[in-house]
Amino acid sequence: MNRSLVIALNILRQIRNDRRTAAMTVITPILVMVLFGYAFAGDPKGLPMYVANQDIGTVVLNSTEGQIALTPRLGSAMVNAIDKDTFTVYAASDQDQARQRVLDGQAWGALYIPRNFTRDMVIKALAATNQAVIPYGGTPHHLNLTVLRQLPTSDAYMVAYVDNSNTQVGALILRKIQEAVATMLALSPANVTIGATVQTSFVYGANAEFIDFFAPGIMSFVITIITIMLTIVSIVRERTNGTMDRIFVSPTKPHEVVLGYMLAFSLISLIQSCLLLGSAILLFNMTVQGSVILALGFIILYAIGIQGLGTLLSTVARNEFQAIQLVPLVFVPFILLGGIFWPIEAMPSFIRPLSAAVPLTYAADGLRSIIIRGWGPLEVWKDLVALLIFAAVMIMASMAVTKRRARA
Amino acid sequence: MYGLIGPNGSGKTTTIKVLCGLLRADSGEALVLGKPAGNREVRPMIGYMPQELAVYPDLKVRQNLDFFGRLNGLGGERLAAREKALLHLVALEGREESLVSTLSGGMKHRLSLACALIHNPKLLFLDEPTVGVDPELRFAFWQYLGRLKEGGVTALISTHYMDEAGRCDRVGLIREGRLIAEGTPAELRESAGTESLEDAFLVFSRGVPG
Repeated sequence: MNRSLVIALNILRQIRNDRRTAAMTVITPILVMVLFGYAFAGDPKGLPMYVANQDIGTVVLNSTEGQIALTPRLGSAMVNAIDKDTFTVYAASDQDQARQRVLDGQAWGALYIPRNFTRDMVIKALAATNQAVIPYGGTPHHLNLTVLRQLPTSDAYMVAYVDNSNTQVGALILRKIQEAVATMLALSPANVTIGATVQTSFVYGANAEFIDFFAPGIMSFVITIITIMLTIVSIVRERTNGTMDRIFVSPTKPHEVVLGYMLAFSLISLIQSCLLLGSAILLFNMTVQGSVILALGFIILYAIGIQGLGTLLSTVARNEFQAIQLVPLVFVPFILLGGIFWPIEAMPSFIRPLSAAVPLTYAADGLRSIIIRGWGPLEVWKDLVALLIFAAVMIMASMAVTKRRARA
Repeated sequence: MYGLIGPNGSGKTTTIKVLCGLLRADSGEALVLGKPAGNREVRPMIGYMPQELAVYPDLKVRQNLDFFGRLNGLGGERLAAREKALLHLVALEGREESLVSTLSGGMKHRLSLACALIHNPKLLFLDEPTVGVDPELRFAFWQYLGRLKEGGVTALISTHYMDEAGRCDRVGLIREGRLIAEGTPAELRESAGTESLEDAFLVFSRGVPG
């Protein structure tokens, strides 16, 4: 039997016989995915929000019945448009109370809609179009121009109070309020004044949720940690307990040892990638737009590189205690610079070259492109090339250090 | 059977590692079976038992033997026959399926020897094979070695037990990386003019400055 296979089998057998290690290599990926999946379950739900809606609407002439009527109140339309999934809406008596609720920490956000909100919107629409008839909620409304022109004009406004101590929640509240404003405007006379509208079209990730964004990152991250840890510890252990010497006294060649290690850890990474992908799909309904095979191949290529990095680092460690301490040295820069949790574009420009030097960046980016964008090998070629170079350099370097150690 | 005797740090392990091809000599040349140490043709003919037990605690007894056997190019029935013979030699029959981590220290020790012998080497390097081994096991160990010798195996054994040195055919005294005396135990005692090998070693040591 090929010696590389013998060595690979030997590593796998040891892990299988050691029940705890075997269990952990299987459970850890699932557990990490589950924890991240629930901890980052996407947007918050049921945030308390106080609304002081004092809008009283305005007077128009109803065309069909020739009577004076009140418009529907835009303030109410606004309240209706607030996403009830994200917010639990409570009524506040006035602006001060709404603001106070946020000050007291009882609510993340509050909204004040002034008394003349509808009126100011209508006058604005009138000033812009000078039309006596404006469509409103499907029915044409004849405006009583004489009356309206006599009213003092001012810009329509609302006041939002936001507790931005958690910037993610703050940003979400602002985004949701803007969405509500857009919904409200769609049925208000003011859509006449806006004129230009933005039509959003999601090029990729139309149905993407946060899990889709971070699952590829988590996959690459878990593979990094486990592969590098297992590699360093197994090599250092082989060295301290003398088995490595025994291997090198036998006719085994250094490259056969490197290849054997690579085979074993590629297989472990493959199993773990399947578990990670499977749990993201089954538990969090992640959808894979591209080829699963390509995604797995991609991560294996990355794991091969990481395994090589582990082999290199193992030469630094004299014992298993030192070996363990090397692990955070790798994963802290990887997790911070690899663009797993926030986009690399959000980092200051002087940090970005460091990101480009972290292989995890390419693994996470490529996987994301395959999973969310549905890209094929031709489209992810940049990441693919980066990982190929990484793996090739690491294999050559680990062969060099293994050779040196074998015949020191 | 050649004994390499010397105090701790005298260079016994280094010498053995150089001969096994694991370390390169700073100067000079190491020849093993007529070829440079570490030579590809020599490797299959040497067996090595490092000071550390050098067996896998997370593997079963047979899996350890399998692994080192296959690395040395054995397989199939030949390997199985070899394993059977060695398990008998080191009295580990019936423990083939035991995890090494569950074995006693003595059993691990015997397994380590068996792993060094799996490919039927002509030349055996044993680095302090009996350190921390109880007297009974040491006795048994030297019996195994005696049987190996009868089977035509040459062994180089490093030790700092003088009684063990006395069992060797030839002995080399090593101190601070230098061979200070060599010969049969009787020759050494004679040339030092002492009763015991231990005293002989002290005499030779004094002759070396530093």
